[in-house]
Amino acid sequence: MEIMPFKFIHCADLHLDSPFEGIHDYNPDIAKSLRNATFESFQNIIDLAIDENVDFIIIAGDIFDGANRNIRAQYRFNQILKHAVDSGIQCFLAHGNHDPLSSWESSLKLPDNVHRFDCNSVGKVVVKRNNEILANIYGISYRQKEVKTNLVYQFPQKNDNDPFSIGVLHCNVGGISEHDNYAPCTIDDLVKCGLDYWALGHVHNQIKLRESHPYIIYPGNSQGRNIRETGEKGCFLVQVDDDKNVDINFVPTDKVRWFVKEINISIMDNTEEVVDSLMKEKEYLRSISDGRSSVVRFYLNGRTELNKKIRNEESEIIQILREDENEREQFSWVESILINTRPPIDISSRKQVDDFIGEFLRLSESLKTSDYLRSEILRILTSIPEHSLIAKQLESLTEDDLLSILDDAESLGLDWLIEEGD
Amino acid sequence: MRICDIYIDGFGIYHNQAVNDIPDGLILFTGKNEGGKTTLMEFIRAILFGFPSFKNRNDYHPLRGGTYGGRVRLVMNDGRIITVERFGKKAIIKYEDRSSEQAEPSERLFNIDRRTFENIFAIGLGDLQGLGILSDEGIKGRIFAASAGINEKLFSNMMDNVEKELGNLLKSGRATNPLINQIMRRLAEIGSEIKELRKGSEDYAEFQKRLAELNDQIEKDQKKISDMNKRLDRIKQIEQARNIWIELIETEKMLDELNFASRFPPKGLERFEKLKEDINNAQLERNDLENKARQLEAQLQNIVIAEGIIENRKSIESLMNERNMLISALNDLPKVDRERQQKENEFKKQLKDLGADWDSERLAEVDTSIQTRHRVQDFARNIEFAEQKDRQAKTNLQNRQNDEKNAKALLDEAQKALNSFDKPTITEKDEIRKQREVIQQIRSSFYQIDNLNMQLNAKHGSIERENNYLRSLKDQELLQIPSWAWIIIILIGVTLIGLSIAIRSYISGVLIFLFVIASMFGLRALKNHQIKSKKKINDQIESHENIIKQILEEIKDIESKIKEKKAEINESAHSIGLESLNDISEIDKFERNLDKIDETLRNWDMLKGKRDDAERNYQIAVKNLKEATQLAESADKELQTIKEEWRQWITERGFDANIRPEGFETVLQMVEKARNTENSIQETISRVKQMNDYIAKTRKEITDILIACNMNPKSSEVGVSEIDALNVALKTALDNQRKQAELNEKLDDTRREIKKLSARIANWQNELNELMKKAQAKNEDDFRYIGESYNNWLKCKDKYEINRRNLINLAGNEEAVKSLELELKETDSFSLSSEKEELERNIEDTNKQVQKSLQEKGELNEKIKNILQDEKLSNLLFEQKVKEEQLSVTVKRWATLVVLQSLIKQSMEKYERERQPKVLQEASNYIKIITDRNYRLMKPIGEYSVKIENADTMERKDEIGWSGGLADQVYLSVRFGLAHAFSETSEPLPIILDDVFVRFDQDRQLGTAKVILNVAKSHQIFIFSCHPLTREIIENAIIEIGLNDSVPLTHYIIDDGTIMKV
Repeated sequence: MEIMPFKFIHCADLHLDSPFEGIHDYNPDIAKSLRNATFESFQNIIDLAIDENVDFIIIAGDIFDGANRNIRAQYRFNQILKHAVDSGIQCFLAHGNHDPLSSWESSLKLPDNVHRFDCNSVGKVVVKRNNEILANIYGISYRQKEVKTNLVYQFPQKNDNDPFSIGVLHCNVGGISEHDNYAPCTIDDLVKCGLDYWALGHVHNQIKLRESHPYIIYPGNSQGRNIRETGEKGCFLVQVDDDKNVDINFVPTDKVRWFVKEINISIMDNTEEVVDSLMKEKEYLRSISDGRSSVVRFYLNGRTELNKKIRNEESEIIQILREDENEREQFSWVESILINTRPPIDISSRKQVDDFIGEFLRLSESLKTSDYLRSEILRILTSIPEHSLIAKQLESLTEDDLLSILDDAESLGLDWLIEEGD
Repeated sequence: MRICDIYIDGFGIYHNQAVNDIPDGLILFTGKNEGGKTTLMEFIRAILFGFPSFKNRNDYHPLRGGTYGGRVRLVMNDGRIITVERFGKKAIIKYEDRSSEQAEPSERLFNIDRRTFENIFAIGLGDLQGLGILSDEGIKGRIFAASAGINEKLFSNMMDNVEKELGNLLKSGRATNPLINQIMRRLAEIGSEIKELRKGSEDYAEFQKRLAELNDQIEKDQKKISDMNKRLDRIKQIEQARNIWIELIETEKMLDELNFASRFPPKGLERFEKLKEDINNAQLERNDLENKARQLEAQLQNIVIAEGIIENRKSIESLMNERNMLISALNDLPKVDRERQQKENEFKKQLKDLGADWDSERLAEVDTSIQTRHRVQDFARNIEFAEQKDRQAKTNLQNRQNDEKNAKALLDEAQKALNSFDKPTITEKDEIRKQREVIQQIRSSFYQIDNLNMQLNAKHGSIERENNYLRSLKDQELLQIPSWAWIIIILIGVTLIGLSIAIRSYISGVLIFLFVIASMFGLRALKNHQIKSKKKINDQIESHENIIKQILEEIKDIESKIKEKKAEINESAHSIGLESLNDISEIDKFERNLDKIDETLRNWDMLKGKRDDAERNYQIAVKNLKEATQLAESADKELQTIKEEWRQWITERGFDANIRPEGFETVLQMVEKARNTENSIQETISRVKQMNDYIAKTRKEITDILIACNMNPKSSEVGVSEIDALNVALKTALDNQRKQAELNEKLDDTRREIKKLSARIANWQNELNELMKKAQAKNEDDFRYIGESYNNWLKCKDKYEINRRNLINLAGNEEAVKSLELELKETDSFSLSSEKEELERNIEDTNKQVQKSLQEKGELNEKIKNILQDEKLSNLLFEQKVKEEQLSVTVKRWATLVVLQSLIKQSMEKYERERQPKVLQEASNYIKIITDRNYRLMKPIGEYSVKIENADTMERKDEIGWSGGLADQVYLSVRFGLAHAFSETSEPLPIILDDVFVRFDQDRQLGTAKVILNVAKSHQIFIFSCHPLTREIIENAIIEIGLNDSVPLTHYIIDDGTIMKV
């Protein structure tokens, strides 16, 4: 059965007005750009919808960052959404774990032609163009933050005569470990339901779980907000032809792009060379960002004479790299430089030397390989009386954090013990 | 490991500097400041460990040429000989089997880095000069750090810095300054501010409701105002229309009265007057043109044209082109003829120059082609080359003869010198080297016997001390309590008690009884104490007897070793031909003799080498002479052959055989010149003929044209003047012809103009009559009256139209005009004015109400806008995240420092427990030798200090009791102890000492030298010093501690980049 071809945009996890994470330090101009980035990215999605003349837009949950029930964010969201509505584009929203309906104190009325799915049961909307049916859209919102039940079971079974059907859901398919396991379900559950396209949200990376009927798609978030969310972020432009063939294209909409770059400085002789190299890398990242701004975290690695010097001069280097960036429209902001360099000695052979430093290294090594690393380190930390003031923070340190602390202590100790004379 | 050769290609002030065969033991480098000591020290470090990349910019680039770098040859502890070469950054390690690799020696050969080397094997002036003035705490730290192989200053700085930074990060109680405390306080503040700001959304809903009410009210009021304004506008419209409407009615009446003139042609009056004027002007112009035509006809009749000339126009013009050529031909003819005669004479002279028998025919036969000339040039070159070669060969032969003569003289001289030198008794170098090794071995054994004797003496001393102590123990006689003492006490007690009973003094009796009992207990305790003391003394006696036994065993052992060593010495002595060896001076004598033999052998070898070289040179000279003779003969033969070939070639061509190739080229040039002259004569003859033909032909043409133009020629030799006359006649005829054509054209134009003007006048007259007819005028005056009336009718009509349009504009359209006209008829000005005033009052009141509502709306919108655009919450959330991140980073830094502190403490405890004792044991050995006292070093657990104690008296000295000299000696002993202990598990490296004697007093210098000499027994030591007396200090120390030659001392002087062995 032939249907009328149509286009729509599938996005999710806008996390509007959410503060960027992992920023150690900030400049007021840069901070303003970063705060606006989620809104501008959403504006880019709406502009794309208007340019492409799509029939509707689907936002699959986590429009807001949850804890932040900011009326200003709602207002800006409505303002942007209104552009789409004024261009005759229908919008469909579902709420996720970050903005569940129970905590949704919306004081602002949504613009007409915007449909918000309810949390009591799966809602259905028939989308038409000139009185001809394009698709059925089914969806459900979260009532509260922690939805532990499989919501897919509440979706209806599609009949043969039904038009192209889309399911909108914020969920974790297959228990993806990086994300909370809310509304857990499996690919099999989704396939059995018989719908043609699952517009999912919750996972912040773009993932095409299935590229044939039913299409199961995570668009990822529209704007990276921390160092874990690097690379392109945006939405999917979906085109359905008269034979129900689906063509899915990812379109980046992020305003600011996150990068993580590791640089080995062992072959560099002085700080100037390191700064030059970082500067070139920064410019390169700017050049590949397609006119966007970028936030960069550098990891410096390698055995080097510069180990201590670089650590001492870290803040000066950052200042140089940030110079004038706040005045640039397309800034490339160095968020931090994490120094994982080591002194220029071969630690494994230095460890064999029968002196005090060798003893120090051997002790550090035995701790690193200990089965009781966590308890050993925490024992050391809690032996200091002041630890009670930061007990919560110490408790939240992960195994990796503790290893990194041990590494840093070893490196710092070596720096001091083997430093050259005056 | 020791360094045996150093080669510096280019490094600082050094260039191409080698120091070879550096022995083990003590190597002293002395020299003035800036002479190159520090540069050499840096070179050794740089070769072994590379250049520190940013320490300082003095990287010792070559100042006197050479490639940056050099090499050292190392003898490793296991006997391998390895060369380390470093030109630039990378080092190359070369092994004995000729294999090599690019690698860092610090990683491949001895597994320690530059800094560890500095801490263990390098001791500088800076390490010592401050010790004397250090506080006891400073000494403690310095000595401790030295024993641990770390830099004390850095170590204590590290511990202080860690403590300080921890304090800056976190403090308990109400501390506000530490960073973590600050961040946590700010986070708490941000939390409360965010909570407060979230209340803003409730106000928002209330504001929105009131805004909707206000919008309704404003809409109603604005509609009311609009209705009233409409009525007001209508009244104003009626007032404006009233005057227009009255004027319109009056204009309508006037139009009816002037209606009779409405048929008058449009602009009829203007057209009538214009036509009248045009007709008059045209008639005047026609009369002028008719006069002009008559004058032109008269001029035409006066012009006459020469037809004959015109017909021959082309021929005359063609003749004019020949005019210049004819003049030239007539002038050149006699000159060319003279030229011909001159050339004929020149040709005859050139033939004569070539030879009497030369004529045109022979001239033509000579071959002057390029090939012939190349052949002649080849002959010239070959002959010249052969002649040059011949000359060189002859000169070379002369030189070789001289060389042979000189070489023979040198050979005779060398042979004579060799014959006059006595041949050495030993002729093999290896034999001398073997004997030297045996000497070295014997010396080493003597040194070991000395050491063993010292130990033996020490042991005998110990036995004596032990025996004395034992005797003193045995001499201790304890006062024995005799058994009768008991009986006496009892007897006295019983007697006194009996006496007391007898005198009935019971109290004193009881007291006496108690005294007796107490005395007995006292005696009992005394007895017990005596037994214990005796047992203790017996134990001590037994223990010391055991010690004496043990020492005696050791003495036996040492004596046996001494015996073994002596046997070794005798065996070695036999191997080099000495019967017996009782004194080390005999071996010195033997070695001096060996030195003499060695020197004789070197001199004999040198003379023999010289003789062999001279003989080789003579043989070479003889061979060279023979070769030179052959070359000279061959060159002469070649020259004769090429000359013969030339003679044959030239005679074949009919020339003299004596002509050389260079001269033959001149003959060929003369032949070519004569040939050119002959050709030129022929060309001149031909040119004279051509000129004569041309002149005759041109004269005939001129005569023919003159006849055709009826201008008969005056003579047969016509020329340029006739051509000029024909040209003048042609120009005159052509001028007249042109004038006639111009006049005819003007006449035709004038006649056409007259015809056109006549036609135009007739048309205008017809148009005038037509106008009169249209206006139905009887005559011209009548026409003018009707025209005036028509203009008035037009003005009236325009006025009517304007008023009508104004009325429509006011009303809006035709329909509205009707309604307006009706209302104008029905109303009057007074009633409308009253209505207008009332409306204006109502509008003003309603407007005030609207303004009030709008103001309230604006205020509400402002409040809503503030809520919607308030970025404070966003800013706070952002700051909260930043602060959380800062907290996380700072807590990790705090944890890193705490872990570091703990690691250092634990390492220190373990190091003290397991490693340090070895270092201190070694250091104790050194300190004993230096101080000649039975001192030993020990480190109390848990303290950063080293104690010195007398092993005999067990008396300890705290640092506070140390003299500056003792501190230095302890420090050096500990450093050397560390180097020694380190070398037990790793490759030992040479120890580098930089000016350690400077600023010490004489005793301290001597003490330090003693330590160094002792260490030099087992390590190669490089001492760098600018102190001129350093060598003397060391030699004094050698004498004082009796080391003599067992530690070799090698002395080099460094002066301005040159290293010389003393």
